[in-house]
Amino acid sequence: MDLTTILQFTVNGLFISAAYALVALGLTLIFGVLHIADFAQGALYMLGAYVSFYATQALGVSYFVSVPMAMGLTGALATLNGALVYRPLQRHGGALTFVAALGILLILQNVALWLFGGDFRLIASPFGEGRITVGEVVLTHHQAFVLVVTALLLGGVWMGLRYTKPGKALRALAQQPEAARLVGIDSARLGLAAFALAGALAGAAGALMSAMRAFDPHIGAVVILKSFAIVIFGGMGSVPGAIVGALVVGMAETLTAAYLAAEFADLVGFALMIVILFARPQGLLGRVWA
Amino acid sequence: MGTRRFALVWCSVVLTAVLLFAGGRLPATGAPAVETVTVGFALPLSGAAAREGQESLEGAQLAVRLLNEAGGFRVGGRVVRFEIVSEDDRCAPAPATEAANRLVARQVQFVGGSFCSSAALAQQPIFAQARIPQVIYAYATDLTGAARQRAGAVLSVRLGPQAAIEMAPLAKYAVTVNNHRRFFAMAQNTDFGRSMVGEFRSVLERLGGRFVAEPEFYTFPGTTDFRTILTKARGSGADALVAIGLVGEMIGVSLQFRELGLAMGLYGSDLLEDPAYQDAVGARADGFLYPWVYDDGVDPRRFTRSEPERMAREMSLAFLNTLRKRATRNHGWGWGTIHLLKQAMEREGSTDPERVMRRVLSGARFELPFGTYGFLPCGQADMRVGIGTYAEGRRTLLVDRDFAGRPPAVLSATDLCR
Repeated sequence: MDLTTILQFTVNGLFISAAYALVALGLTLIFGVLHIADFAQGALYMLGAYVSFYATQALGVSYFVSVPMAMGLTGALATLNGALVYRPLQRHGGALTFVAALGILLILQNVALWLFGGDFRLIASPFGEGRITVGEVVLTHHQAFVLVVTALLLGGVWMGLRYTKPGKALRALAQQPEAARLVGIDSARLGLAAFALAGALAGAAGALMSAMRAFDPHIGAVVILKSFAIVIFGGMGSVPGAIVGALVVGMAETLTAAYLAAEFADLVGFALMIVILFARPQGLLGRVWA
Repeated sequence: MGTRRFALVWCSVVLTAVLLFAGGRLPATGAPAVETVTVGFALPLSGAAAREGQESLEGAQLAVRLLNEAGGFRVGGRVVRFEIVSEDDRCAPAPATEAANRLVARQVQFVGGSFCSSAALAQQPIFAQARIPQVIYAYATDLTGAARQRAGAVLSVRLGPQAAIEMAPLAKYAVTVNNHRRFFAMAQNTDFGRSMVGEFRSVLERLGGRFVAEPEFYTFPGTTDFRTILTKARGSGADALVAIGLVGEMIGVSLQFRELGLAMGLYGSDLLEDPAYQDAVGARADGFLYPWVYDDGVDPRRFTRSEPERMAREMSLAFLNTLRKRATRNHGWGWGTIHLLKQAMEREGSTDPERVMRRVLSGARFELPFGTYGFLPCGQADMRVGIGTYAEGRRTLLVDRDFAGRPPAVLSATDLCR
């Protein structure tokens, strides 16, 4: 294969990684702080796409405004899930929250099916058909926009966790929950903040991707499965692990499809997850956070 | 006097008894007995193929509603009405098996579905064992071939095309009209995807064409990013791409095909004629080719139709007048199932499932949304499809249903019962 093709594969891999990174980051935040495997984030990814779609199509809102709208709504919904479902169940053990998360995913999928129908939707990208072409390597303007926004969101969360007071409190809560409570950190409020942030990231991913791919109420299921594998691979609760894991899995999927066969590409994330569980059960960068 | 009085009393008793008897036994309206036939539908009502499944069910529901509102139809002196029950098979073998078992437990008399090949293959032995006739919509060749024989599913029929019916004329059109001989193939990794690609390849090679690489199969139905496979296709030296997937997948393939600037032909299944695909892809689908199955007479065509599609128009009008929307091919599956059973029952004069299916398989022709045709002994609908494309975003029919049979013929009835 020539250099152009290899570069195109790299662009494709980066783009796939962007969506995974946003969802995986939210998942790992919730797991790090609350030890909940929140599969319902898949439904928030889907709802982000629908909010953006209806905001642009029905309300005539600009696509650039629809993305923060989607983030706000899915963030609020995630907070509600956290307060009304997960928090009461958490004291009874992790298995119940796991089952509840799957239940919420299915309920939201079916509510969306009932509300929006099973038809495929596609948001018209504000960038139209615009593309950057270098030789035969193609990057659409929308893809470039998604990559930039993803980088900004990931960077923002990283900086927020590292340098702001609530961010430091979240990290403290994840690393030493008892000690954090002893020094007066409000774990309940911070837990809800983690839900809000994770929900907003999932909504952003759904809204950003919905202008590139047709979606229906079931679009979040595959994304959440792969993102969960990424979180385990990167290290449950590890923020850098989620980002590096998304990059590794996204690129590995692309290169597997490119050089081996597409039928193995979707399985590579799960294969990596199994390998890492044998070799390093805490995940690739699990120690940093967990 | 005593005798006369006795005779009068006796006559009165007899008359009263006759009147009472008549009044008690015959309905005041003189209406015949009503029989309700239950048809179960095993369809993907959730998951990646939910829209297709729900539209199929909607087609059946509207057909039943209109028939029942008209008072039902007469079979051997009785009035027959339909009743529908449905189960979600989620387009996958395991839930499809559960759905089939639930329909058997609900004692349905006939079954429509599944829409998905892997699901239909899982259900076929269950319905065969329960002696419940199954009207299948899925395309995998095996469903009217080896799998049907293994299951002993002698009461199952396929309502519409199978992979060979769709892919033979498409491959022929590619080679003989467009001179596309070198193909790159991609498909979902299911019985549907593999059957379609296999049949396309078979006819392509028979006509001197070839695949430039082994087909690429993607695992998750509902996958939406195809850029890597399409990048491989772009660098493969192929004249054209054949891509087989569900509607959502084909929207992704088509948009990313244009994004990456692929300068080759694109051939797909009849899912490319789906209105949802048309709405999402629009003029970006111009020049893409697919088999057309459903024709309600609305779209422009470049030939004179040999056969009017009466049932398609009837269904189309019913949807417009009742539900205020345009009917699709998917609606035709459910609508067609109900009308196939109705016509077979009327002709047979019975609602007995085995007798009805013997009539369906007798070679008699039935008026259905996809044409007027009969069924081969292996259960396959003896029907054909044409070739369509998009021109300025509008669905346009290029050749008629007889294309595959014209010289060089690439499809005959004997090819359909392999």
